[in-house]
Amino acid sequence: MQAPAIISDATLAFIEREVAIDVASCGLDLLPSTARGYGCQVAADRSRITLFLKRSEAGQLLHDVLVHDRIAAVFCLPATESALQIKGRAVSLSLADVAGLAVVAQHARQFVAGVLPLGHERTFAEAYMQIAPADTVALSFSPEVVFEQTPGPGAGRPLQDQVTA
Amino acid sequence: MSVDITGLRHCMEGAIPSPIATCALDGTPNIAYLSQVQYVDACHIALTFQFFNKTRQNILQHPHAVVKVVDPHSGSSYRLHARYLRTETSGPLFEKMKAKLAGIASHTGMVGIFKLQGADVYEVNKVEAFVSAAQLPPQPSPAACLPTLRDASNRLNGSGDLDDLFDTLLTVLRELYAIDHAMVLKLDEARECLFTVASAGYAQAGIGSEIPLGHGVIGVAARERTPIRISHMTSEYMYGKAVRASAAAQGLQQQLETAIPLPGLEQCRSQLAVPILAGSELYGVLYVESPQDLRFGYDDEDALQTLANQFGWMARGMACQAAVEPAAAAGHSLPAPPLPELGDSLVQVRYFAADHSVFLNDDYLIKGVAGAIFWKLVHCYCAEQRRQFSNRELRLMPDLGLPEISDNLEARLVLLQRRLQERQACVQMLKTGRGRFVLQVSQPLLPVAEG
Repeated sequence: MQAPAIISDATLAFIEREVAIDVASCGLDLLPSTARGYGCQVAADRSRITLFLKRSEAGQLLHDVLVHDRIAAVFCLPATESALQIKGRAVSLSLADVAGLAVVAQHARQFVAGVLPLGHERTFAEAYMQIAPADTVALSFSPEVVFEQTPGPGAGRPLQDQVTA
Repeated sequence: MSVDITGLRHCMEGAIPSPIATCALDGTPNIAYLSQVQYVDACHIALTFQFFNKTRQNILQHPHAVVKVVDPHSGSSYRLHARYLRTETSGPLFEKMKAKLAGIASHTGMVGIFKLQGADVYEVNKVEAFVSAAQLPPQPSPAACLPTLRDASNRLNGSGDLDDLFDTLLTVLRELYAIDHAMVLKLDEARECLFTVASAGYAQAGIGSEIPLGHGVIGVAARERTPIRISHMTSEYMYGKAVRASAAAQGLQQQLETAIPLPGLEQCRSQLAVPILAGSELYGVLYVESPQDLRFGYDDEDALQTLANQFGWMARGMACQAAVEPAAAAGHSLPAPPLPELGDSLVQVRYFAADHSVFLNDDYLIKGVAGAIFWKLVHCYCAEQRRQFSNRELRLMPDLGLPEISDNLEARLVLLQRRLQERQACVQMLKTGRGRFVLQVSQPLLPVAEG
């Protein structure tokens, strides 16, 4: 059965723009693990989100999502520090394909352009987004809940575009 | 097992927001951004607790977290695996983070929303480094600041007296640290306030202006005896208008010097106040500011605190030496310069005994201990035609009612000398030797005791 799409138009637009992406999971020992995201792609029916990670940075997290199948990802727009967190399950891993690598390259360009006006150096921004194609892993999951995560009293509030079924 | 995170301090200036990952007891991960990661020591960090959110629920139940910090120059990132230990709700660490958060709140439009409830202290037990492969120009090593610090320390060490020490500190900050706006304040123990003795980089020097203990960035640094550093503009910790307003609200304004405005930048974006300590005793506060965001880092804080410690001991030592040194042995004394021909206009020196305030005609000069000293000097000059004085004899004058703490006299004399200079008053105090000075009077004086 097709999972209900929970990603609203606003959420979709936000997570695919020049946001910083950080991902967390944990093992059966409940110790958290993290990794950076280098791009985000949402399936046409919005039932799956694919994040691109650096294999060499994400060893523990890749292990944890396979064993524990829980994931949380936070997306933050540097210009405003507004942020969303999406939690989900049904994680699958694969090599990044050509289309995925194009998403990663596009995201890096957008991110660099987005942080330069904030006073960051180009050398920093490009170094921060650097990822080799052979080191790129595609991690897909089914989103279950979307949270407002902009720092403030409203952080952690579930947004309406969550699974209600 | 502990690690050393000292080399990562520059990644904790807030240039790149840090995410924290935690885990609920049911195995659900959570990841959110932090307002602030504060370096505490080689193996501890502190994080802001502002709201009872999911992160906080998780760490109270299961105290393990992963915090990412990023080098804002190289793009290298570091994962700190940390264990929550405790929450501090008062004291130096709390105040340091509260002040910094006020700057962040102001910078991010969160004034009135961001309020620090506690400083959550974590022990870092593992660091994973992901070093950027980018080809970047090399950064100076942390040790590169040591020769500068040594130079600064040597120059302070060469100060001949307290007046010189104040000037040397401000010169060192400007020449070696490119800090153009600075002031040095002395603690008045009895009145629980700080008074400005020296400043640099302001249109009005503000010598003699006062700040109550615990108010603004300077007052908090003094009360908590800890450096307070803010990297963005914030009205909450402005030491000028806001300090006056909060002091007024607490009924303190009557006790404060309010006629002399505090110096300060209109558009101050970075502030650093470090306590000047001699052992456990607070001497005063060194304060620097800048119109740039993120101007002062952890290394600046270290350097200024080290210099302030040296300053504290030197100032204390100079005051003690002056207190015990016999006048005859106080070193070589220059002859008093000839008195210039007095001008035609008589200047009334008006003295109000209630608060020891002094006016030259209708122009306010100073009050308090410095006012009482000035009145005494003018009285001796007019009644006995005396112009030469020693710090030591002033200390021994019973009718001055000086505070028992000797460094207050020395600092008050420096303050008075500078205030007269700033006002281009018709009376000036010129040094003629260590602990000695002469009055240089350019107009005839008429002392008037007003009550």
